[in-house]
Amino acid sequence: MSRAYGVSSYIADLIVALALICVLVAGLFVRFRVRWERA
Amino acid sequence: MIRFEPRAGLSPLRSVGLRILAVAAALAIAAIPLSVAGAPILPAYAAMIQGAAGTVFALTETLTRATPLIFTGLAAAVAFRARLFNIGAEGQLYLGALATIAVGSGAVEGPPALLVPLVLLAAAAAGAALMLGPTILKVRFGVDEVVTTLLLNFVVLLFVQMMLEGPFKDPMGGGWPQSEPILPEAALPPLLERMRLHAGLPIGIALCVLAHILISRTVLGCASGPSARTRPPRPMRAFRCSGPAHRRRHVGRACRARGGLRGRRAQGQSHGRPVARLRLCGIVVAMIAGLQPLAVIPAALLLRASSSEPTR
Repeated sequence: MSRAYGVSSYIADLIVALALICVLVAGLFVRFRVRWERA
Repeated sequence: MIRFEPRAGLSPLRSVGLRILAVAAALAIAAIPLSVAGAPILPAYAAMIQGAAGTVFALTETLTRATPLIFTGLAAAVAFRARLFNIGAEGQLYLGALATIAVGSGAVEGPPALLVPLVLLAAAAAGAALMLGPTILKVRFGVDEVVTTLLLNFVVLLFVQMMLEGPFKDPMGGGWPQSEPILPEAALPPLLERMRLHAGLPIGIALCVLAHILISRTVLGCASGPSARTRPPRPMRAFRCSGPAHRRRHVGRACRARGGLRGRRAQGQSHGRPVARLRLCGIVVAMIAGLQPLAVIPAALLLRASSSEPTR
C-alpha cells in the first residue's frame, strides 16, 4: 500500500501501533467502569 | 473527579467484539496520517487488502510471513499470562536457529519423517534451555527476568557470531559469516507447489489451539496465571494456585514453554531470512490478541497484512 500510493512504509507500523493502543484502551474501559463525580 | 470501578466479568463474545472494534478504530484513526500524507484513504486500504489477500500468491505470502509471528505471539502470550516478562526472544530465536543448523545441516541423515521432528525438537529444546538460567535466577534468587533475558540476547548474539565464523562456517560461503544450508529433508515441507507457504503454519495453529485448551480447560492452565480480572474456567475454580512452591513450578513451566516456542519458531526461520524485525513483534501480537492464544492468529495476520503491497 505504501509503495502503491507513495506514502512512507512506516505507515504499517503506525497502524499496528494504533491498533495496539486502541486494544489496550478498549480493554481498560471494558475492565473498568468510568464514573464522573463532582468533588 | 474520575473514578474507575472494576466491572464484574468479560464474556468471550464481548472480548472478541472489543478487539474487532479496536482494530476498526485504529484503521479509522490511521486514516488521518494517511490523508495528511496525500494517499486516498479507501483505495489505500483496498490496496492493503488486495496486497494481503487479493491473489492466491498474496494470500500465501501473507500466511507465510505471519507464521513466525504466530509462534512469537503465542510464546509471548503464554509467558505474559504467567506474569513472566521475557525480553530474550531474539536470543532464543538465534539459539534455536543454531540448533537447527547443528542438527539439520548434515550431522544427522534420514528421511523427512525423522529429520523434521528432530530438528523441531532440537530448536525448541535450545530455546527452552536458554531460559533455564533466568528461570533459576528468578525462582531461587528473585532476579528480575527482564534484565537477565535482555542481557542474554547480547551473549547469544556474540556466541552465534562466533559459531558462524568458526565451527559452523559454510566453506562455500565465500568468506561470509554464514552457516551451511540445512538439508532439504530437514526443512518444513511446503504446503503448496511453487509457494513459500510451509507446514509451520498448521503447526503454529495447532499449538495455538493446544495452548487455548490447556489454558482454558485444564488444571494445568491455572499454572499459566489466571489474572485477577477474569474468572477461572470451571475446571480451575477448585484449584488453588497460590503459594511459593506452586509459583515456582508455574514460572518454570511458563519459562520452558516460552523458550521452546521461540526455538520452534526459529526452525521455521533458519533459512537465511531476515529475523531482526521479528524480535519485539511477538509482544505486540500478544498484546493485540489480549494474551489469548487463539486470538494470536488473527493478530499476527493483521500485523503482516498491514505491510502488504499489491502485486502488479
